[in-house]
Amino acid sequence: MIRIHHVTHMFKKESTKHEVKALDDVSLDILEGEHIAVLGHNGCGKSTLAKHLNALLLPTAGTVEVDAVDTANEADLWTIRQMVGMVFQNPDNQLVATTVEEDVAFGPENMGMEPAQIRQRVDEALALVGMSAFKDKGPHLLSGGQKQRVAIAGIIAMRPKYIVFDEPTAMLDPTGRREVMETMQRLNREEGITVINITHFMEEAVLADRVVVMERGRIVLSGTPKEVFTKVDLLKQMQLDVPPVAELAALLHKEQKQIAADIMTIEEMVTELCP
Amino acid sequence: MSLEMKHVFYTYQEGSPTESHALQDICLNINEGEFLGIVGHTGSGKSTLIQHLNGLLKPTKGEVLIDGININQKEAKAKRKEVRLKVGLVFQYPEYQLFEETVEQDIGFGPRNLGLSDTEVQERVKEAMALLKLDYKTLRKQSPFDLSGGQKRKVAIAGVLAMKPKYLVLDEPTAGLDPRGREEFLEQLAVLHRQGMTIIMVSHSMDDMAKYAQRMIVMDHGQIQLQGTPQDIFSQPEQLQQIGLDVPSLSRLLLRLKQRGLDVRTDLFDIEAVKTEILRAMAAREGKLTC
Repeated sequence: MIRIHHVTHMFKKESTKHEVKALDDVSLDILEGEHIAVLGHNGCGKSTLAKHLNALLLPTAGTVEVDAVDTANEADLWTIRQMVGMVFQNPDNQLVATTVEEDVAFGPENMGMEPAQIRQRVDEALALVGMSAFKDKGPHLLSGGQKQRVAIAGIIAMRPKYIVFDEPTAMLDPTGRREVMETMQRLNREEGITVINITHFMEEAVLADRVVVMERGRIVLSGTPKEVFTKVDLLKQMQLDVPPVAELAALLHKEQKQIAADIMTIEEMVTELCP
Repeated sequence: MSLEMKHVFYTYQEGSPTESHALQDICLNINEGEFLGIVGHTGSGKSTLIQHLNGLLKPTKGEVLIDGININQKEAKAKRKEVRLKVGLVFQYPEYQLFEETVEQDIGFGPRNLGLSDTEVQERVKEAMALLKLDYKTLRKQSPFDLSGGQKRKVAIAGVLAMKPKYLVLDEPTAGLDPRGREEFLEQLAVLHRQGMTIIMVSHSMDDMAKYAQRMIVMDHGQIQLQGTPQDIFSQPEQLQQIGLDVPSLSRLLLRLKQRGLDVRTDLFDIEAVKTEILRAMAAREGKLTC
């Protein structure tokens, strides 16, 4: 479990020298095996929160514990980073080697693993993201979605328990986005890896077990996708996207009370209207 | 007056083993004052197409005309520069192209290179910033690199607007913006359009297309596969899905409802219109008591 306990994070803005409160007394427990989506506008603190999960940032106040290990404990830094992997937005910034398999091997090599074991881990990781056929290719020849899957494989080769995805699909086209989301869901469901997905896309958030909405450094809403996305008026107030079907359900419900208001997906709506 | 592509072909690395045909026989007429949406997969030729609109790429075969002038013809050489300035091109992630020390210098870079006087340049910067609701006074002396992602992008686009283009071409201008930033940006684009600017926008978002474009073209394998109003396009979901593209979610809903026997129109995607249509169809069904 990752336990975020009353975390506040302050940083100084370079240009103005003002102190900014990026996180304001945030508490959140992330359970093993969970798939959590964190939504919110740019500047709401979601990426700052993500970077606390593997000690890229440390709290100004409060604590973050990964499997009961405090991230502020410098001696445990590498244990924590091995347990919590991170995938970032820009696929081009995450690949370092000249071939796909070398790139995936980078982490295990740095851990000082035996070559035979590295081989095994790389093969497994590439198979899990469906990129085995590309192992000898140069990363620059891949599409955005494929690059992101290689970046994910690089993380998986480290056998993390938790993977934090920081807007992994923001720079991808619809095909790439689908590839990455399918990979993310498979890792969660089949491999039991805990997934924390920081995103702007509510189509992605709908797939999570739990959705957390942040604004101005605070968690303002949390619940199952259904609980969160049926609060249409509140989400609109925050200028967040609402799934069109959820919005339509709210409108239909206003006119005809027998139509349920808590509908989120096309299939649910079809069942509701044509039982 | 218009932008015109006549039987344009474009081949990357012609004659080499890696030769690829990015555009094949493109015929397209973009009228002044239009809001044209271009959709298609990555690799379908969208970006190649728009780079022809201001002469960044020369057709392997065929002609590109800006307001009637063939920009790639030798005889038009004298006029070429002037004509190309009519078309402002905003690349993907234009904020990566910011480089000056202050916002004002960055936006003024283009106009300065035109040889305009300092006061003229300043006027242009002010105007361009006003068009995107960027506050001149507070931002002019700031480094563009200190701004938020959404603001950086606006500054980069203001740099294009400061050239006073007649036609504004944007390649996925909202990619990577958050929902609030995207909404604001598209609304401002709609305002520019109402003020008479021709907008040509490449996007992956069918919902944005449904809301803003007057006409759309759908590209696949370097060719224009479909064109028409968003209504026309989205009422042909099978074709879109064959190409691997989505239809707006409410169109998808209407199609599924129709498959299940609810007699609804499927060419709507505005939420109010969809609501009314569903209520109408349900009332009609109640009347007949069948589904």
